[in-house]
Amino acid sequence: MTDSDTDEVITRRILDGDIELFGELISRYEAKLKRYARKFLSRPDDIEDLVQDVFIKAYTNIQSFDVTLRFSPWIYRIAHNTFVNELKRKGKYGSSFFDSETILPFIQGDETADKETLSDERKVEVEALLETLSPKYREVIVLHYFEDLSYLEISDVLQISVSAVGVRITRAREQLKKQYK
Amino acid sequence: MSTFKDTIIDKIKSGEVAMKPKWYFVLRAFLFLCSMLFVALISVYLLTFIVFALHKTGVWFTPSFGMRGLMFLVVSSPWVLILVLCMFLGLLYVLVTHYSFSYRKPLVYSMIGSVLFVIAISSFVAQTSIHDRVQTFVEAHQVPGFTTLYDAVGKERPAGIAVGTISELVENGFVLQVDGELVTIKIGLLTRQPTGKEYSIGDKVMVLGKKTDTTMQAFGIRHLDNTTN
Repeated sequence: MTDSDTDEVITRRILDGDIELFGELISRYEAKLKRYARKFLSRPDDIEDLVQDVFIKAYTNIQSFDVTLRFSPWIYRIAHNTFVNELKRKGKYGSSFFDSETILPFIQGDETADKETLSDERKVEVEALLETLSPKYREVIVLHYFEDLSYLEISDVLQISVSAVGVRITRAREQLKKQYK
Repeated sequence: MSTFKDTIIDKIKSGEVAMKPKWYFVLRAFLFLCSMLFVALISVYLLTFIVFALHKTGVWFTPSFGMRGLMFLVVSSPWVLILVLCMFLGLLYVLVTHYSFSYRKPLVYSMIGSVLFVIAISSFVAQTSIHDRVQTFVEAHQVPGFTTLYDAVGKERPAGIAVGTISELVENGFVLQVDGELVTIKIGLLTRQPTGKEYSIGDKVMVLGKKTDTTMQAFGIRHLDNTTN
């Protein structure tokens, strides 16, 4: 195994029986998932346990992973479900039956045109304002700007349409700009 | 090596955490697909049954008599069955949104797609005589539930509608044989006749009107093809 081996190659080898390699996936995603948890859950006190739970679920369900697809959205999907359950448990996640963003079609800007790389300084500023956003807007900002996931990958993580991802990011940015002013 | 990673790997090695086998996920996906197909089939069955029932009672044809006929269709439609159908369509939509081809697009497309899919399949099924055959079967074998359902189609016709065969032509009307009963149909100047005013003995017709004893003043009359009772 080399550092250049993709997550999917490593997963294929784990599926072939080399379970020790799961440690490599932990090394690659531990920091990312802890960062995702910290920003999405707004400073939870049990990040270690939650992220450990994510890896255990990933290992338990790894036979359901399609090695022809990308590993990253798959493990972020598990993390999303785990973190949302945690927010619901704490009564901090309001879900509405009718969410127009996911149900109705929207004309969204091209992802490459919308993409705006945040400098480290700007990231610190945005991070300070993340708590002012509701979880559904906070999450897309974290996944897109901090975890570098594309709209399509976020669509697979949250299981919402690509246009809904675009709408949420646009609305979240507008809210952040208002807060910044 | 980090403690975090060690903790998880130790749990895996000790067998405290184990992979679920491949067959578990294959079986789960198969059962999910089966339940989706089952819900789709029930939806198709309900939709075709509703159309079949409306055809059999003649209510399906009443909109050709204008607004009054349309109102009659609305009032006489089997709303309980329509509500159950909507619930199954909703369930089908929820199941479909599990797949990436669905959730990657706005969900309204999946809603419309699920409804159109059921309508498309139903339109093919409606071309067959499946409900006639099921009706014959359940009447012969007294299938619980189904017999009551199909009995209602033939026997519980809404008041104000008569479907039958012309047995005699009389002045300003004809005599209609309806389920063994003879009803005299009176045709007036205001009677709507979208399929023509020529009637012969043996014609199958549907009449919408006001019935008094054995006479019905027709508001609308329409010829039916031989497949409709």
